[in-house]
Amino acid sequence: MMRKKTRLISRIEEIILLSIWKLQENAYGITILEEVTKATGKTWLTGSIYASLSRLLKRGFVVSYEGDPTPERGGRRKIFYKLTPQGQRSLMEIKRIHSIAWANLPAFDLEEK
Amino acid sequence: MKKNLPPRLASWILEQMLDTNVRYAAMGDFEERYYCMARKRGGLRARLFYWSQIFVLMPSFFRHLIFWSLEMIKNYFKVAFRIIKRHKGFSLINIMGLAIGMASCLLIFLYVQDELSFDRYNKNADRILRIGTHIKMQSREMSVASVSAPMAKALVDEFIEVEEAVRFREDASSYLFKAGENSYREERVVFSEPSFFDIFSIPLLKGNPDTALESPYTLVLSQQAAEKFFGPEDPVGKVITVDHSQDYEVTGVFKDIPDNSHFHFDVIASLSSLEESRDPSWFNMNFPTYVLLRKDADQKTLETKLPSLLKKYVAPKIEEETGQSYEEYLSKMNVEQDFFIQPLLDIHLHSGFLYDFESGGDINYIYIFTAIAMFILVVASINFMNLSTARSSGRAKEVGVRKVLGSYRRDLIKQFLTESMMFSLISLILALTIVWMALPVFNRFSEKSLALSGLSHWFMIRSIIGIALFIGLLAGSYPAFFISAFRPVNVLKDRLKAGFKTGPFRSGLVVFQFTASIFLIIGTLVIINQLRFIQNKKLGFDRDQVLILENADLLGNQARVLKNEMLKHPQFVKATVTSYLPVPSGRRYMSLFPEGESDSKKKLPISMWLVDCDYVETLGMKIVEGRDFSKEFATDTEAAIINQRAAQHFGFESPLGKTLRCPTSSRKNLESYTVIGVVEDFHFESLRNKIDPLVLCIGQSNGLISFRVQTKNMAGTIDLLRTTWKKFLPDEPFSYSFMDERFENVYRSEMRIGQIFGIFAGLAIFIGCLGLFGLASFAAERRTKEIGIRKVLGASVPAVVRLLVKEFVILVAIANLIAWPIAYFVMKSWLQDFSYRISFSMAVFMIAGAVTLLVSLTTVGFLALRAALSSPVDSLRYE
Repeated sequence: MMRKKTRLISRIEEIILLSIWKLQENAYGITILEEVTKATGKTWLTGSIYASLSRLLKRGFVVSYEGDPTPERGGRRKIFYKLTPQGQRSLMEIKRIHSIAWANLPAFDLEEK
Repeated sequence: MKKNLPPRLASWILEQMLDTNVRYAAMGDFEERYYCMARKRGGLRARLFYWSQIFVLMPSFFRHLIFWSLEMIKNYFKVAFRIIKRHKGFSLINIMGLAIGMASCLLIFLYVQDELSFDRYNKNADRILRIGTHIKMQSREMSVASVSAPMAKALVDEFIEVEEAVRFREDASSYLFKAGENSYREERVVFSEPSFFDIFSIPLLKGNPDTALESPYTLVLSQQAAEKFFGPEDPVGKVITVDHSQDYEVTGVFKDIPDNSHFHFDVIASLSSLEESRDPSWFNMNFPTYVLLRKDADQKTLETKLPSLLKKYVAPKIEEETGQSYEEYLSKMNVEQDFFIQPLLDIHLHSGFLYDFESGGDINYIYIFTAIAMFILVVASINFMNLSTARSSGRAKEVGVRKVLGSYRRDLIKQFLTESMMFSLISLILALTIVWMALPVFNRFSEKSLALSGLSHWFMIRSIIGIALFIGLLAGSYPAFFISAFRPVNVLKDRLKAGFKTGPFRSGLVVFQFTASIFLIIGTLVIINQLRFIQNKKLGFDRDQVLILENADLLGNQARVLKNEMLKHPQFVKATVTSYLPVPSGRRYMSLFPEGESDSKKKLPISMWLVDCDYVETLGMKIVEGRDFSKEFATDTEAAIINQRAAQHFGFESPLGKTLRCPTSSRKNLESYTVIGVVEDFHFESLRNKIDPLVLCIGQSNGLISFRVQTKNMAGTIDLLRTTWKKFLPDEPFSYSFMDERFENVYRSEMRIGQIFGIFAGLAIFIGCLGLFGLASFAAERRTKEIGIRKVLGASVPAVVRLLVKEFVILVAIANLIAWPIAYFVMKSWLQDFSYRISFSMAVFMIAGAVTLLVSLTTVGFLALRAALSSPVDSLRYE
């Protein structure tokens, strides 16, 4: 009840957080991008998820940690992302809101599939 | 695998474009995807993908960049404004100094631009050439900006390079124009041909340019003249009577000739009206001639072909007349003659030929002015730089704090540069205001009509703003790099203070500024002294209180009557009727030689003036040998008075009684003159030249009447002369001048240079002192604590003042030592132009040194005194 009022996460942030959760130990730039692309069906640019990622980092929904250096990244380490409890909470929150919002709706008109 | 590394250049670019936060991770991603792509779809596609990322990143990269740099600039501006507000006096000094510097630079720039724009209004300006003649007789050289009458036609006929040619014929004298009731005396009258309108871009507003100047006794008027003569009526077809004798029909009106033209005419009459225009002689060089080159032709080729004209046209004539071959004739007479070409655009600044339409500018003054402009600008920029650097002591803390808070050095440099550019832009606006206000005064004394609009075309605006920004950049660069390099630890711990004495660099700048100022002061003093020397030099005649009546030739034989009439009044002491005066007036050269030496080398033209009996006495010259002309000797019509130089020239030991001969128009006869007196040398030409031989003899020459007057009421005397004139010639306009005025006109350009030097020397000193004031005030402020402690420990006020002043006095002294030799050599070479010149005196240098020292002492001393008088209690607890 007395929880700090936080801004709801945006749709793209939601998708990214979900992807990270789904990928668990293997969530870094490329895999996240692939997951997001899979989920939305659109092509995302390599750089475009980083804006959201750094915002999520700043708000404490995810943390990053370095993996081992890999040859295919020119000897660079992968930067992995992991959900924090706060991030998980925010997902639950958004899900709760969704289910409330989507409950008890009259049928849509465009039923032909 | 190694071979398939992603393209290096692309990696580098990507790396630069990415934000530092995500650079590492994103670069890894790019590389991984690159290899993945290479495996699946080949290296080419992978590389293509890799490169394409650059373009994909572009939009967001720029959005980022612009956003943040705008944000930073906003901040820089805010800080700059705060600084201006905080240090009002200081900013004012800084901005004022730069603004004055810029303003003088802009003024000079306008002037130079105007000088360089002469004759450019002609569409074909770069294809118009003037043909002149170069003559060398014995040791005397002469360049005449005119050629003979048949030359123009020969040029068009002989050379395919020449498209068209136009001749002019100008008399120095004026004409009386009478149209109906209106009669005016017109001086700017020239005779020319229809091709004038083809070659020069001066449109004919009324009339047909092809025929307007075709037939004899036709003329075209300038818009202004047409207005004056006929008012609103259409002048075409009207008749103007010239000099009471010849009727001319007006056939057109041309647009007024622009100010920046090397000639200005109000009336152009048809050349065919003059019998002389059909003169087939190649020796009568009275016709300024211009040609229009074909578009594809080259001036050089025409130049190489010109001598062929001499062979073809001049040589046969000589052979016919003398029976000698042309070459023989030339070598025997020791004469050389050739033609030269001068491009139209060079005429204004490279003139000084005989028969120039108007005396033009001088390219040397353009160089001098440009140099002065640069000088002032550099001095002002140095000031700006100096003050900003000095102020840095106050801002070191700011830099330290900024650095601690994470500012990069790059950002600090940007901040300081933005700030100084902002200062310089403000100065520019101020400078434009100053120029706008100063222009009327400047125009008056430069005798031009410059306007600020001269700066208003796009190119100018761009370059002026560019220059202002460049100055800002330049001036800001030193403080920017210097201050931004401070180590925060040192600054914040206050360790820098000790190292903040006036550094050698800043001292160097102060020395440079004062060197420039001292140089300008010495220059001004030398010029003023030289001019005063000229004005006070014993000229050998008395130029004061001589009233000259002009156009006296209109009186004809009545001239003498008017003279005698005037002499009845007591104010008019003496008078002489002659066109030849030792100030700019008529000149006449004859080939004279002593009896028995008819073919000697001395047979070059020398000045031979026709005067009357009262000449020597009226003008106050001194006869040193023999006697003056006198009415009592009837033989005096064949007598001559020569000057001392002429006696020397002819080799006369005892000149009296010697005979001089001179060929008359009828070739075989010789006129002869007996020397009856020798007059002391007097300066009849500019003091730039040595006195030449001169022979005076009695003759008719009615151009001017000079009266020696003795009166306190000059206006009344002139009125008296006017009423008498009107009695003789009621129709003719009366005009007069004073001999000393005519004399001073010769040195007008020097006088102007002197004034300009003086003004800019003043400005340079002013700017320099502003800088000095700023520096000194900072020195004083910086040492407040030191002064306080010194006073507590018993230092006296004079001791403290001395302490503060010493540093600057040494700098000014050094500047003096540097400036003196430079000024000495430069001014010495300027003085070389004058045959009669002052010698350098130590006083000039002493004065310049004393002035700068005094001015800087006052500036610094005032501040030092204030610092020294402040109570130590206040100064020790100011932090």
